[in-house]
Amino acid sequence: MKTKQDFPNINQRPPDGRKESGKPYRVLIVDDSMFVTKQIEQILTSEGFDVAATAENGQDGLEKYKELYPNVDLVTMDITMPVMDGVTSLEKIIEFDKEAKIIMISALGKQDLVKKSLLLGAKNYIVKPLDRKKVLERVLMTLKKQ
Amino acid sequence: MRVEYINPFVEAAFSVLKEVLRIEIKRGELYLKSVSQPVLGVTAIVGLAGDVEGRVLFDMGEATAIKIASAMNGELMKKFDDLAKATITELANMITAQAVTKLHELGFEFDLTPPAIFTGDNMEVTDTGIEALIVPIEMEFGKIEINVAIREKN
Amino acid sequence: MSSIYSDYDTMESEESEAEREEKQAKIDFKMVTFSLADRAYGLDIMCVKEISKADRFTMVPNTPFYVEGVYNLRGEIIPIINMRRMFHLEEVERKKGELANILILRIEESIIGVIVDRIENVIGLDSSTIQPRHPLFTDINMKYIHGIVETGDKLYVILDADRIFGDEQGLAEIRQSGQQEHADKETTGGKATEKKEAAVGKKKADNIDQDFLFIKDTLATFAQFYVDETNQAWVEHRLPEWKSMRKAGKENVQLMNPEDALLFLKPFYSACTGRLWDEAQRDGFLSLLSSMKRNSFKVWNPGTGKGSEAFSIAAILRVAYPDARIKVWACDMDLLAISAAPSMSWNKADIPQYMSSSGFMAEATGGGYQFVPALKDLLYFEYHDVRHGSALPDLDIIVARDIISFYDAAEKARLLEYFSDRLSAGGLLVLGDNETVHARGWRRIEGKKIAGYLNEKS
Repeated sequence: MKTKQDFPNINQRPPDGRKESGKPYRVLIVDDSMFVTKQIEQILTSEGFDVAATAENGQDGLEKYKELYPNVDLVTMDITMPVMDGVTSLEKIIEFDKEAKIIMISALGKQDLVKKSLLLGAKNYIVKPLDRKKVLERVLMTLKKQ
Repeated sequence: MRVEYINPFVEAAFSVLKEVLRIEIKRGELYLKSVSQPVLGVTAIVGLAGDVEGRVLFDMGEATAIKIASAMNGELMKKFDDLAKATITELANMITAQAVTKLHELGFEFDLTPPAIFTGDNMEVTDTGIEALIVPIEMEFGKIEINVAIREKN
Repeated sequence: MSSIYSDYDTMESEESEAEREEKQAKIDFKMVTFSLADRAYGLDIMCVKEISKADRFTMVPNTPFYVEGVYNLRGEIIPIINMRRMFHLEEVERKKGELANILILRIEESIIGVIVDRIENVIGLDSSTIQPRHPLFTDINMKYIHGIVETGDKLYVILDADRIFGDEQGLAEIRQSGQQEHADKETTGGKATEKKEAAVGKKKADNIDQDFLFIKDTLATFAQFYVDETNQAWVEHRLPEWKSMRKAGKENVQLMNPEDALLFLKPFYSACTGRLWDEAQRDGFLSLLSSMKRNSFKVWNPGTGKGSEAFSIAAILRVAYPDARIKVWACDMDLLAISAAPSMSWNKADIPQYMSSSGFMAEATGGGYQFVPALKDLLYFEYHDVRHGSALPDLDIIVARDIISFYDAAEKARLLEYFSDRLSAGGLLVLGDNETVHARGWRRIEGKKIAGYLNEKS
């Protein structure tokens, strides 16, 4: 996996993960797969994002969001998880904070649930398998939109 | 196994493995097995529900599993630890999800149930007694046997 | 919470402490547990007479493949069944001198011995904890299973001994032939049996054409075609014409390679093989259905190849019985052929008149004709090996033309048994034009230039 260190210094551009103030965007990753969590974490931290916390299910995700609030800028939310699934968690987080920015992470074939999530207030979605370009694109699109 | 179900699994395995591993993938000849106990060492299982009941097994040796996990994580892994297990589980999920999507397009209402992974030390996979279709996949990391058993809910 | 849950809550609390304690202590079922191919099984102790170890069984000819032989149990000759063979599990060779573990069972009036891998112990449990059989837990035929139970951290499959071994007639026959065999062996130490078998063998050879025996062997070797009473009549009929044909061409009568075998077998195949069924075939098939109810047809068509046969059956039934419920399950082991079946199309010239005018065919993109969705929906094509069990419902008709002849004696017997098991009472089996069944439980019926077999099970 290539990180920022692999790219030459020639094109020194400010990392995507930094706000105008210079402070990093803080992200909460909610996913029951250690692997997917690690993937997203690696991609984001390599661009200067700060992964504030991770959660293994929707319930834990909701609790961590409440703890971090208002210092959380974005949530990546897996759809299928035990205990509480991503769509329910999304609903509850938005109930708590209607400005919450949540991106759904879904496996192929969960179109109906993705649609439902968008209707419930999710800002965007990314379909697995994840790659760096896709993830950064969607994350930045979501953060920059007002 | 219903003939319409076959191609989606074969194509999904091929396309996801190619995309995720970026190495040459070869498919061996398909065949049928009557009792399908996994044997190679590491097995990921994804259940199928909806119009049918059944499951997809991804069976491979531990060395192969570690190589695949290493490639997917972009780092050389030395043992089959929790992260490696999560990685293989995710791979199984992605392949099955893509197959199920193709099947949806063909008009078959399948659903996935959450995946599980088993290794040699806790290999307690009791089977359905349904005939299974075996899709052997070969690549430089070793081989994977994809083992699909589906029964219609009459 | 809905009312269902509150009802349940009250029920629970009504059970007294004493009642609950009593329930925990109830042991009303005891089973002898044993292992077979690394699975744990149990048998009701009521049918287990004793446990034994032995290694010398007397072979008995003409018994089912799963009978290993007979054994002298304190003067009584009992059949010994090899459980692994019976359940089609991989066989394990016993080392020299290694004794087999045998469960001696009493089934109805018979005593039989059953070889298992290891006999464990006797476990008592509450019969209410036994779960009904479920396909998810077993890899042997579900009908042999009484139930599943979990106890002492292990999962046991409890077998139904009566269903597995309860063939009174069969066991009695085995015992009778076994007694004779055993007696011979005892008196002359084995040589008598051998001599007797050799004498019988020689007589047989004198009466049967030597050529026939060689052809029989080579058909099996080169074409996987097994000659026995189901198709022997045809082979005997074919042989003289084959001989004169080969002699006229100055070629060897014997089959020297697969091509010769296929040539020999060419006239064996049933009418309309690989093609849509013509009017004559249709009429013949329909004539066999006169004894069946007309409102529902569940049909199994193994060996359908590219599907012409299955499509024909579905179309013929649909045209003849417009209001019936029809479902045709068709399968084949040739992956390429069966994969092509759902989207199969035919040239107009290959389509019988009655079919093209039925309204069930339409022009396909790219030329040729296909069956319309309304007809296609009646069919279900599977890549499937008939030797592996499948989850078919009770069937009305099985069309298995020129299939059983390509399985050896043991598999053929198993297949016919499976056909009988899957067909409802009075269900119809249609074999190849040159195949016949002589086993018990099948009643031959004659139709228009075709024969069928009705399932006579009780």
